[in-house]
Amino acid sequence: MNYTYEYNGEMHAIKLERSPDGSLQAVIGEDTYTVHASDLPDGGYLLRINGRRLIAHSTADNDARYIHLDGTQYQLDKVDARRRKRGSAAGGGDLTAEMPGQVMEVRVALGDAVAHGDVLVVLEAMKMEIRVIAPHDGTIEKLHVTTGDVVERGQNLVEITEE
Amino acid sequence: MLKKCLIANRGEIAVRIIRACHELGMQAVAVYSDADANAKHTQLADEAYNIGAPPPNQSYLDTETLITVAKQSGCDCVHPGYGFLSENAEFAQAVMDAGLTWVGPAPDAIRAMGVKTEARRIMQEAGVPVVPGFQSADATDTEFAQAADDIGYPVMVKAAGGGGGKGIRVVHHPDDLAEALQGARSEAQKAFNDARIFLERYIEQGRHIEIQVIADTHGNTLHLFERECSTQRRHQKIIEESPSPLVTPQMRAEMGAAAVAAAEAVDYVNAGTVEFIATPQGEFFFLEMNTRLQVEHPVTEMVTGVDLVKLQLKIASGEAIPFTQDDLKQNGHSIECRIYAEDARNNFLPAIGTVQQFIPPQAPSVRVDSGIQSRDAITIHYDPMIAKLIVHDSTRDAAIQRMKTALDETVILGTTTNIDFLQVILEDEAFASGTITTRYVDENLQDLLPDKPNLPPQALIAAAVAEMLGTSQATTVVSGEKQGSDPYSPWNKTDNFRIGE
Repeated sequence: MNYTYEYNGEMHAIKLERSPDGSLQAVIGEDTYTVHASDLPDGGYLLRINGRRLIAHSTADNDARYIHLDGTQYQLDKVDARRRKRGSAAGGGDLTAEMPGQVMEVRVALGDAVAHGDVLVVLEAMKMEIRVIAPHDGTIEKLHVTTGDVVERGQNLVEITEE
Repeated sequence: MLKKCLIANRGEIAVRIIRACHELGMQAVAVYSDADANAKHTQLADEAYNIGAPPPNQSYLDTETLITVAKQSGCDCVHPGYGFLSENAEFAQAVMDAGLTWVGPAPDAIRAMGVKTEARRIMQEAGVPVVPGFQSADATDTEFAQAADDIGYPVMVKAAGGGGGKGIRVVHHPDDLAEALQGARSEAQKAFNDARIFLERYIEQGRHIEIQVIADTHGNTLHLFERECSTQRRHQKIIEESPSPLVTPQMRAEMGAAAVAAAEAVDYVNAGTVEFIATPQGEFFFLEMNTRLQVEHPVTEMVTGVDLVKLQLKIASGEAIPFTQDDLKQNGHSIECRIYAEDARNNFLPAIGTVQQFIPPQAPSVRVDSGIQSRDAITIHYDPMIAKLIVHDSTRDAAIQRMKTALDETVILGTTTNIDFLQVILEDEAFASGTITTRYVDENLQDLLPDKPNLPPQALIAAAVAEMLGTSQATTVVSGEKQGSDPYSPWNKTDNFRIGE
């Protein structure tokens, strides 16, 4: 089987095949590895890779593949199943919610002239106060939220005209 | 002895208190919001009751409902844990008025220490050293500015009505004072419903060192030595330890005596913590008293061998503390790391999501206090702490080594955690040498942020193996758990356990 993952902006391809003796053969680029793998009761895997023993844990969630190995966690994105990247809508930039939370304060009204650096909206999630700041001078063109609204990550909060 | 305790809290501290109740032969009653219907604390408790919607003010802060549940379920006491209502004197009073025992200090003591300005005054009268500062209930901004000039910059603006880092502003220049006053007032108003603020000298190389105290109703007030909590980011503690590498035997004796004097000055009963800011030269000043159990209480338990939560319940039952000050010794060294679902590389934003798999480390003298189980969600409603990892060993160096190994072995999949950030701090020279100040992490944050690790071929192989061998591994594990043999499982109960109401 061939698997391709994206990690840190780079593609990583691996070919994993069963050998006749029951072991696995992994091919990454020019390198070939002999792999013995067995399940552990806690859901992990005992791996022997070219003779070196390792314990790995892994779970998957849609296109995300999580690995814990040697005290480090890696989050890979499976490429063949990858869907359109989630996140902020086009043109949203800093004016979208960075994380799910609640609108604590809307400091501007429709039509207000704002200057670069002005605080437009204040969000709160858990113990954090997040200030949404005007990225440039302009006029408030659209206001999508009011105080008390619960917002999702990536949701558009406010739109400013280009000056 | 008290017989049945309502735990007005959630998460790891609710679990911790339930265990203490069971060890003492007491029954434990849990409460939960809609977001916590399947949480570990509801499963371990003898009974569990839904008290409302996920936002705390509709559930965990709903004092009337909590007292109704306590009475209807036949509880004789209420343990508030930390956070939520633990330092709410009105709730403590309401519990007592309902004929129940409050596992904590008297409402008057909470009130006296809860208003920081009042606490400062009482401490000064009791001879406890306080940081130079300015307090006035109705000072104008001009008067605050004059006071700040007198104290000398930098000054700290703090909320009079609460703790936990809320409302705190550090001001370096007079020009910035007005905005800081306004910001602190509005944050304090929102967090504590009390907009009062005060000023304090900002100690540049400050170390956060606190003394655990315990007092019974028979007139005994003892201290259980210090914890150092200087490893903080934006005033939130990250790593705590006991003993403090700064504290000498003489300083320990002085701080202990000051903490006992502080507790006695407000007729304190039960467990509490007197927080000090200390200078590298060994001066120390009273900051505040937390009139409750602390998040970091386990490091004290590890070095003293005293179970603080069981002792709290015994004291609330009217028992005397079964040891004297001279009986207490600090044995070895203990460190606690707070594992959070947060992304250090993305401005420490909480990592909302599901902890698909959580495998705590298991090793000698490694303790894990957690309210999270595999498949639990980290939601926006509560603190994103996954677990507290606590280790003990004979020396500080050995304890650090043990903590590094324990963190390596902690498997948390499905959400980003701060484990890599904790590892960087533990490796840092300032931490290793025991000289971290409360500002160190903020000032050196760029150097302390963990690099995103390169992907070794072994990790890629592990991913492919998992893909090939176990498409639904996590699901299999969950469904494979034995449901019938767990005496605390709500599924095996015939009482009025309800789900999702």
